[in-house]
Amino acid sequence: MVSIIKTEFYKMKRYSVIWIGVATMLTVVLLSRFMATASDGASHTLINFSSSVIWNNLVLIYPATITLIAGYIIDRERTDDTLKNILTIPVSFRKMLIGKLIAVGCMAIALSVIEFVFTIMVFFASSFPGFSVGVAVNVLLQMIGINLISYIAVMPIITFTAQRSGSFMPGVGFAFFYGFVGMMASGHGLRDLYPITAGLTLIGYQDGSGDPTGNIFLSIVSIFFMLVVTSILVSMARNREAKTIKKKKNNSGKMIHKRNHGAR
Amino acid sequence: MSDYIIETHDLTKRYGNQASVSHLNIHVKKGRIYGLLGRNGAGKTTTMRMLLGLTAPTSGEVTIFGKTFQGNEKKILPRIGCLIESPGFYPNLTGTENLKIFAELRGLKNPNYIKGALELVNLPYRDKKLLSQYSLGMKQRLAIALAVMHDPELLILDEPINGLDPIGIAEVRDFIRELCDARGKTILISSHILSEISLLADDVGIIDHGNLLEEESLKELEAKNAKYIHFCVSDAQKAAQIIAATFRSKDIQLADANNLYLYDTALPVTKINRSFMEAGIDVQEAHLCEDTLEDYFKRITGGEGIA
Repeated sequence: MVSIIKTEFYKMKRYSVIWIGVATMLTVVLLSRFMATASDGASHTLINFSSSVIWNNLVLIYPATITLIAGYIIDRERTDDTLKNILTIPVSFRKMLIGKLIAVGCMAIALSVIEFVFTIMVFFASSFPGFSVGVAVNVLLQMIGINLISYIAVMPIITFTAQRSGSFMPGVGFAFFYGFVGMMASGHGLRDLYPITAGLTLIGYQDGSGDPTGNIFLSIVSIFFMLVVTSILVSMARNREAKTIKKKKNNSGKMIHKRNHGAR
Repeated sequence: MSDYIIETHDLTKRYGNQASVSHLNIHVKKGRIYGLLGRNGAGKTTTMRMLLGLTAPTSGEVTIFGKTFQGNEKKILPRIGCLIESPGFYPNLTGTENLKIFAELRGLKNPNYIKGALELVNLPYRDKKLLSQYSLGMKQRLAIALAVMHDPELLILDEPINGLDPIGIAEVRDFIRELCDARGKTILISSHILSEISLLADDVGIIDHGNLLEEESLKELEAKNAKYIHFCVSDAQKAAQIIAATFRSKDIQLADANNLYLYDTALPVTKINRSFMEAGIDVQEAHLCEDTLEDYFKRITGGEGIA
């Protein structure tokens, strides 16, 4: 398994999809900065500003982004036609998927660090008050925590769509909707039960208004449930095979047979 | 134990109602090159994918190295090197970086495995060129390097000369021949190019519409090529009647009004010629002919040719 995870990092070298993650992290920090401008009169300490970044990232961008990155990283084995080389080593589809999920988890941590760096840069550029090293470290840990937990919340989508060629895009759409609904769920007392927002309680998130609230037990149960669902999906994971031959026309107009092979 | 490295028993693959491979029984002997010959879409790639466990058979069984494939994949696959369909690599990495990934997954820690494989196919080690900048021929070479990198006992190569220039084709052919002769590898190679199979293979399996039509050594196949006498005459119908009546042979085929083929080559051509002339039939030409492998292929596949 160590070799599989190691090779996942080799594959990311010069991989442009990584930059999607970096770009979205920058976007969410800038969006939070503009929202801060719009709410003149409020005090923008590091805690308030980072809370805004964490919230916007969680409900607007992050679930879809991490699903997109994971989807690309998994589906490329089919689009680059490298899956056959891996399966004939043999490395099973299941093991490869676990390796990729772990590698994307590491990437979620890296993106959190990038999000933190952008947050601090914009915070200083905006001359907001209230910086301390202790708060900054806490913000970094909160960002890593919430991004990892929300990654766990979307893992079932990633694992399910990974098994069929080209199906990760609908998964990205669903992940966006799933994240967005978190905004409503949180406002209706379902924050700890809804997997996307359940992590907010665990990281001690303050929505800028006071002490952390929420039920830690319910949050843990919610996240654990998503881990169990993911484990079940991974245990059954295989590269799904098409049952029929699809017919389509190639560039010359000649009828060609396209088969979606796959096993194990 | 069986002498065969690969054996299939009624191997079948169906997609819906369509049979891609039907009750296939192939036998690949140790230390020989087996050429699987067939037109595009004949079922060669599907067969190879089933041999490697990439496609699950609908029915039938595969035995490799004397073991049933299903359930023994982890023991069998590391002993096989393969190239299936087009070369598959990561375009954002160099050739060496690509091989490094698969070497790591195979547990090959020594970089000499990568270096040696690249040298065999005349590709540079640690070149900075990305895969996205490789030509199809270079990708094909790299795919062959990947197949041989771990020194497998059995090579399964699906159309390995695709995309190669004539010099590259000759190099790969020599290289495959050397792997078999000098290193004792068993090689299963597929192609739709008949001349390649006839130049390389020791044994040949002819597959068409998913069915194995013939399986023999190349020598046996060449010996089976039909010999016949071709007559070009003024009246082929009348000439056929003379052969049937005078020489008591019905092994005749009328091609058109002027051409006929006599498959009984033991009959005396000079006497036949004289009989034709006595009957007032002009003889323009008379040749002893032999079918090529392509003619044979056409004959057994129902008349359709191959490249």
